Amino acid sequence: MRRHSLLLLVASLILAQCSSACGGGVNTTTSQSDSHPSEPSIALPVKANSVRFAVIGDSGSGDQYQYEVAHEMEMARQEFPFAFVIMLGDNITGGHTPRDFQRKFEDPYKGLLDAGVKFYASLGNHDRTNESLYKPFNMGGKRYYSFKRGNVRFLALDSNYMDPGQLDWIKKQLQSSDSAWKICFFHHPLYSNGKTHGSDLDLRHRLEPIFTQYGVNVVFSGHDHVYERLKPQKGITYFVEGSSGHLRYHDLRRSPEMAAGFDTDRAFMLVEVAGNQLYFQAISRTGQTVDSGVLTR
Amino acid sequence: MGPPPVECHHYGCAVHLNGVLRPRTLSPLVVLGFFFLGGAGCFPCPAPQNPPSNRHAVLVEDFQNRVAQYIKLHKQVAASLPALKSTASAQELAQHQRLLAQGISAARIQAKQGAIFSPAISAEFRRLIRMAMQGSNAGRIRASLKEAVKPGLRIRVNNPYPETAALPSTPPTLLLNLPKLPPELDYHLVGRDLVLRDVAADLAVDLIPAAIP
Repeated sequence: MRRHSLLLLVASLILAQCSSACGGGVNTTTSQSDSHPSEPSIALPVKANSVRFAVIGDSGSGDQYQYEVAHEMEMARQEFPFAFVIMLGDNITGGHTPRDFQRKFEDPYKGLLDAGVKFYASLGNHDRTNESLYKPFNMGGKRYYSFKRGNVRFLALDSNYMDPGQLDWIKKQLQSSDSAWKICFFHHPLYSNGKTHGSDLDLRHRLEPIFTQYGVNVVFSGHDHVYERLKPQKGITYFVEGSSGHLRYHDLRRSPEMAAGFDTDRAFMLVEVAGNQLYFQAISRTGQTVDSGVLTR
Repeated sequence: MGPPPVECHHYGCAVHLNGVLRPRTLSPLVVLGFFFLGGAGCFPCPAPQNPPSNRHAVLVEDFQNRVAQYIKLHKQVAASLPALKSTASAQELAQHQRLLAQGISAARIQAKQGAIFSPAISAEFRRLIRMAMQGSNAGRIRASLKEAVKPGLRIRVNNPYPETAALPSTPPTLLLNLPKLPPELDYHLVGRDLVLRDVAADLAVDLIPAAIP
């Protein structure tokens, strides 16, 4: 009986290890306990006049891991000089005192802020709406807003409160945009294989038809504290990057929709848009490339 | 004969808020009726001319009037504070929010649950939410609502939303079915309760308990 239990235990350990490490594209090549930070090796072309930016989500933890990701971003910028960062919400989690803004945003990204890198925030469920008036978030006092860089139109949406007014605004913005690339970013993912939250089905029901009708190419979301790239859904590539401060270890479930995933350490993304190509690279807190590739429109 | 002891739901009829007749909700028809009755204290409720299908419109109008009253108050308090524009000072943001919340709370110190969501309006909102959650929407909305359930999170009317608590997202399909709000307010579901929140003050203005079936 005892021997039988031992065998069962060993078998379940092997299965658990295999389910996270072997399957579904969930990349577990590094873990937060056994890897040390190193300079990331940039896999992006750094073409002239390209639009270059970084992506962080669920960053506002204020713990040492957030600072380490921020440091890795600074190192990456030496080789890949991105001009701005998009934030996928939960920019400040927990308290919202001035000290929290300092500890969870101003201090970790001081190097980037001092270098003139702009941050464009969207609101998560842990954010407060008055963050839209916080100048370093460049939201212009609005819950949702739009900006253009090169041939890319960015829409920062408020997925906490997708009211009819915002839905109309999205349609108008996309309809009137002549940009080659249309990128939306917001907190709650339309597609996610995170076990904790997963896909927001009602939000998907309302947004996906608009995105497909008006030619959105790429969507970035957070909320699930993992990195995931999904296989294109109705022609749109979805990324979940919710691990730039917080992490839910082994939170990804295997799915045929998943193209790549990483749930064993914090991460951020670098993106470069050049002509009809969008290059992306996901980098862990320790500088390992956990996913990279190119999308063509 | 005094005014009716319960709220009247016929279109154009005045509605009682905290026992006080709110004359700005009177329609010209009602005013005329009141005049012809000699103002003898008999308040006419023109039920025969108003079919029950108007009940929804009456309640929504009542709700919007109450909201408009609140917004007036919000603007008065906001006008008494230094104007807030985009700022790099988190201190300034926090202070403005706190002063706004304190000012509004003090100005409606007597406000209790039901000040805006009267029993009749609450019943109508519950009906609208039930309607939105029927058919193919039901599964999607319920899935989204799983995140709204936070055991132990207690929202108190006329008090700030708990600072460290997450603000659950509101399913867009529900928002499509609920009366439109001015930008100063929004709806949030906390557990099964529907909370009406002052956005800039981060203040719970009112709530409907057990709004979600």
